[in-house]
Amino acid sequence: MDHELNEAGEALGAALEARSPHRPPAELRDRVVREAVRRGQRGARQAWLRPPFIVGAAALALLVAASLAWGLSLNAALAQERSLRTQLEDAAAKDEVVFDVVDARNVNKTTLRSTTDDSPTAPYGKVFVRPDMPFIVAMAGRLPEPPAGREYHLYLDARRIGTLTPNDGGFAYFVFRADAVGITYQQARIVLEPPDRTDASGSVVVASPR
Amino acid sequence: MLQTIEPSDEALAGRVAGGDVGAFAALYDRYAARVYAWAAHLLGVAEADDVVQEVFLRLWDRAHQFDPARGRFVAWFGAVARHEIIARARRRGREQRIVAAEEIEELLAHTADPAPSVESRAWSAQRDAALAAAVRDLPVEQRRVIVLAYFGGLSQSEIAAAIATPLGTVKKRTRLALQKLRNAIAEHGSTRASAG
Repeated sequence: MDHELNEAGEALGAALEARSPHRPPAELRDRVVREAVRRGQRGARQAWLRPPFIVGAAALALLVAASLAWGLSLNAALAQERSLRTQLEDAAAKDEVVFDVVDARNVNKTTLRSTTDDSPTAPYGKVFVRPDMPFIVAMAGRLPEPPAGREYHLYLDARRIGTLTPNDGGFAYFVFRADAVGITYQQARIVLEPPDRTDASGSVVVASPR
Repeated sequence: MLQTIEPSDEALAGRVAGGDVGAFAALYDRYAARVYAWAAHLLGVAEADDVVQEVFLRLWDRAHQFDPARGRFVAWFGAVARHEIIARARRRGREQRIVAAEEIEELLAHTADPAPSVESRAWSAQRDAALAAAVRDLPVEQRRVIVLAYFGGLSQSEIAAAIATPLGTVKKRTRLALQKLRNAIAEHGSTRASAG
């Protein structure tokens, strides 16, 4: 019975939320997130002791060794793409539309590179558009945590279409749906700027060639 | 006009398991109000903050235990929240749980739907409104047993005693209510998307 109640709980919870006068205080969000971050750091240390981590570490060691041998002949562009793809699989496992776009044979792909840093640790990104679907998938890697009061915004030409929030590994992605297929643009940019800016007047972090 | 497709709850939960604070905050934004409202009604506003923090930190610590192959995130997380809230309520005695659940039932039955807002244009908000309507439209006797069971954590025997109704009748009403809510959930889908 508990299982069935929990399955129906979505409707019951939505009903109560819609009609209840009680709302959580705004400051509670910061408190909970801060505590999670504090616990997260503790959890990361404890993770070293867990058996799955040991297995994972062994697998990782093998992977690293194999990658070193193989990587000698692998060019940097392919390596970047694999890294983004791997992180995307982790982050977007349930978002099937992401892979419908990214894996399509007819996808149009644009690479975004740093405008000021050509080192191997520089941020980079990709934008994928399918000519037969109204979706845009954007992803970026190696993004540093934005400074307080700043966000990473993606612009297609002059239009801001979304915010990239990097995870702890510096990876971020998102999907857009337009009203029609055949989305085109001249240039894609990721700009670091205050949340309320929509004019791309901040610092360009990565951009596609014009 | 472009429209943003939000990551699914399940995708966010996967990212939370990997330590993604942004995904954690996104799930907080989606579900904190729900947990808070339940805790405030059953336990009081003074304890609701603490419940929300505890439930979400449990999510943070245990997100790796969520398996999307076994069900949707909202059901799993609802069970986490329910466990915490009902455990606290049980320390206060059955009578208080019954009174609080009856007040929730009254709220669900007689409070008007909130006025449409800009936010309600979002698809997920429309879906939540449809689910809320499905609860409101349940026959009163079915809604009463399901609210006592879900929000109050009462067993079917306890409900039968509380409302002076045969156990078999309580079971039948519960089954019918669950079936209708399951149908409503299935009818209104589960993908999240919002205007952007």
